[in-house]
Order: sequence, then C-alpha cells, then structure tokens
Amino acid sequence: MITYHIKCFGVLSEIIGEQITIENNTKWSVEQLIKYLEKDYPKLKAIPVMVAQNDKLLDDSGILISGTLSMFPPFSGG
Amino acid sequence: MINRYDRHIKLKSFGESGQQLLKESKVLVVGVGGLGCAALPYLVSSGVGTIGLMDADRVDKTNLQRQVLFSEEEIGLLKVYCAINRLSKLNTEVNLIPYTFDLIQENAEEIISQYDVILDCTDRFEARYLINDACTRQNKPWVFGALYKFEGQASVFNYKSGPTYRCLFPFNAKQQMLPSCSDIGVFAPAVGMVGVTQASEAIKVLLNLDQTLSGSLWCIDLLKMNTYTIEYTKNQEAIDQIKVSRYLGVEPSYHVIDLNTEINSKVYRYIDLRESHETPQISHKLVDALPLSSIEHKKVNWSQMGNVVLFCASGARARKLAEELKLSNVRFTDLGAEELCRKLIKHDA
Repeated sequence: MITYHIKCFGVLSEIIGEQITIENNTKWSVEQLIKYLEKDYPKLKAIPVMVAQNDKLLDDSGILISGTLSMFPPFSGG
Repeated sequence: MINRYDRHIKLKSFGESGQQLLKESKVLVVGVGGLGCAALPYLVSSGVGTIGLMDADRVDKTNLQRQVLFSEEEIGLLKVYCAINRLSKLNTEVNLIPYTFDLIQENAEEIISQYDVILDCTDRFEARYLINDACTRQNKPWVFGALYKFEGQASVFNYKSGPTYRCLFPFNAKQQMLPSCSDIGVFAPAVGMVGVTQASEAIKVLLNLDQTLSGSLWCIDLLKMNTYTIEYTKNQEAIDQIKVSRYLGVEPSYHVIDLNTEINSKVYRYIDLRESHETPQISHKLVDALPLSSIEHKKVNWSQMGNVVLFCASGARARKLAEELKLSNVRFTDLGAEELCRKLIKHDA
C-alpha cells in the first residue's frame, strides 16, 4: 500500500486542509495525484499546483513514492 | 576615520573589496510597495552605489499598514519620490534613480540592461514573467519575492546560469485566477521578512557569493513559524524558448480557462455570437444573443457590459472578437453553444 502524507500551503491549505493522508494501491505520478484530488476538491481545477517530495520539486510526470509530499501554488502578492 | 561600512567590511565575505563592489553596483527595484519598502533601506544603507526605483503608483491609505517608507501626509503622492526623499537621508552616497512608470514589454530590455541585479517587488504574475524573460535574454540575475497572507516565497533566478522563474513556475493561465492581496489581505511583517530577504539575496549576488537561493524556493509561514526550502532544477527547453520568443512575458489572455469552476465563482453574462439561423437556439437567463453580423451597426459599448463571456459554435469567432477588443471584462470560451448550454443547465440544477 502506498501512503501519501500531503502538506498543503497557501490557498491549497484552505481548500484541502493543512495536511491530508491518501492511500493507494499503486504509485501515482504528480499528474495522477492532482487529477484524483480535483475530484474531491473541484476548486483545484482553477489553481496551478506544484508538488515536491523530499524537498525536491517534481514535474507532472514525476512518480511519487510513499512518504510526505508538499503541495503549493506560486504566490503573487507583494 | 571609521568607515560607515565597518561592520560589513569586517565580515570575511565582504572585506574592502566587497564593499567597493557594492559601491560600483547597480540594482533595479521594480515595485515600491510592501516588498520594495522593506528591501530598499537595506540596499541603501549597505552602500549599493546606484539604485533604480520603479513604480507608477501613488501612496494610498491602505498602503501604510506595510509600506513603511511612506507617511500619512504623503497620501496621494508618487511612491517613487516619497521613497527617494526618505532613503536619500539614510545614505547620501547612493545614487537613487526614479522611474514613475511601469515595466512593460516595450521598455523592459532597455531599462534592465542598465542594472546588475533586478529585484521583483511587484504583485503580479505578468510582471514576473516579463522581468524573467528580459533578464534571461540578458543573462541577468533577479531576486523574486511574493506573499500569500502570512506566508512568503523567495528565490534567485538566472544566477551563474542557474534556473529561471519559468523553470520553477511554468506559465499557467490559471495563475490569473489566484486572489490578490487587496482581495484577501496580507500580514505586514511577512511582507517585511520577504523584502529584507530579497535585499539580502541581492547583496550576496552582487558579492558573487555561492550560497544564494538560486535553485531553491525559500518558503516561510509567519503564523506557524515554519520555514522550508524546495529545490528545483533548470529547464533548458524553457530557457531556449524565452530566447527565441517574439513576446517577452505573458501575452494577454482572454480565454476562460475552466467554466466548471468559473460558473461557480464569478457572475458572467454569456454572449451568443451565432447568427439567428444557427441551432440549437439557447434560452437561458444568463445568455444574450448578439449575432456577430449585427455588432457593427448596434455600436455595442463592451467596456460597460460587466464581465461577459463570448461564445459561438466552436469558439473561433468568440476568440477572434475577444482578442480584437482586448478588454479585461470581455473573455471567450471555446466550448461550443451546445456544451455551454449543458453546463449552464447543470449548474442551475
């Protein structure tokens, strides 16, 4: 079983919550994870989401192993 | 006589030569708002020789909470001159250059070419892509800072052939949907923290130090008092694209990205550009028929119409008109009439 502990930042923490855990039978790519989350949180469809694991940013095709992930959008305020 | 920069000169990374390097350096601060007001005093007091300040705005009452270079009696005055007035008292040795206009496509490359490091102290994605692209073409480092409520992000781009802003945040039209500080608020000390970090990174870049935020996104949350950094890598393809692109920054987009979300979050009127013989006929309280062939003689005043979304059978006519009008309240969707109709009905249910 693959377990993702996802920490959310910026507006994502307000939509999803500060931290959620997802379990799945297989490893997901970043794109698959975001698609999955969009079903439960449709507001995500309007937000650019970046995903990092072990403090390294992954692109959409990056494969996520069991463990902690960070999800954040670009900030724009100044 | 004691040198005013004595405490910097005593640091191994500075020395006399480092301080001299700062004196000979030129830094451009784009945006004299919250971030700019926090970064500028440290650039000035540290003795950066020439500093350009760019902002077209005037001081507003709601700026005073975080834009600490301005005073109550300066409300209504141009920010750039108020800031220069204050900063010139901090250090008379620094040459402060005012630009009371915005950085745009037409002036970006020429102005940026005159500086060694650029600080992005703006509050807009468009400005960041513009700074990024102009800096990438000129191999110029720039320091990014941005806020969301109590949280901040900062990084350094284009330093020693390092990654660019587009390597970290590829352009995504959804960015236009993210809320701004004026809508959601921002914690003043977070702005200060990020702005001061930008000044710190700029000085390190000018001193040619290796330990900077190049390739790392620094994130801080002042509510929870957490900091973390995310490493990212260079995307050579994106960089090559910037160098050959005819457009610097982001081309204006009038495309409605995702109607599923936007139908829920915004109130639009939907303008049916199809001719009267085209089917299916749509009757819905949010839809107005305005056949393309009738627009010219009706003398439509688009800017007075509120937020509208143009549509037609395939989106082609809608796109063409939206791009001709170039108005922020007039957008288009490439959903055909049938699909749009289904979505509106589904939304009503």
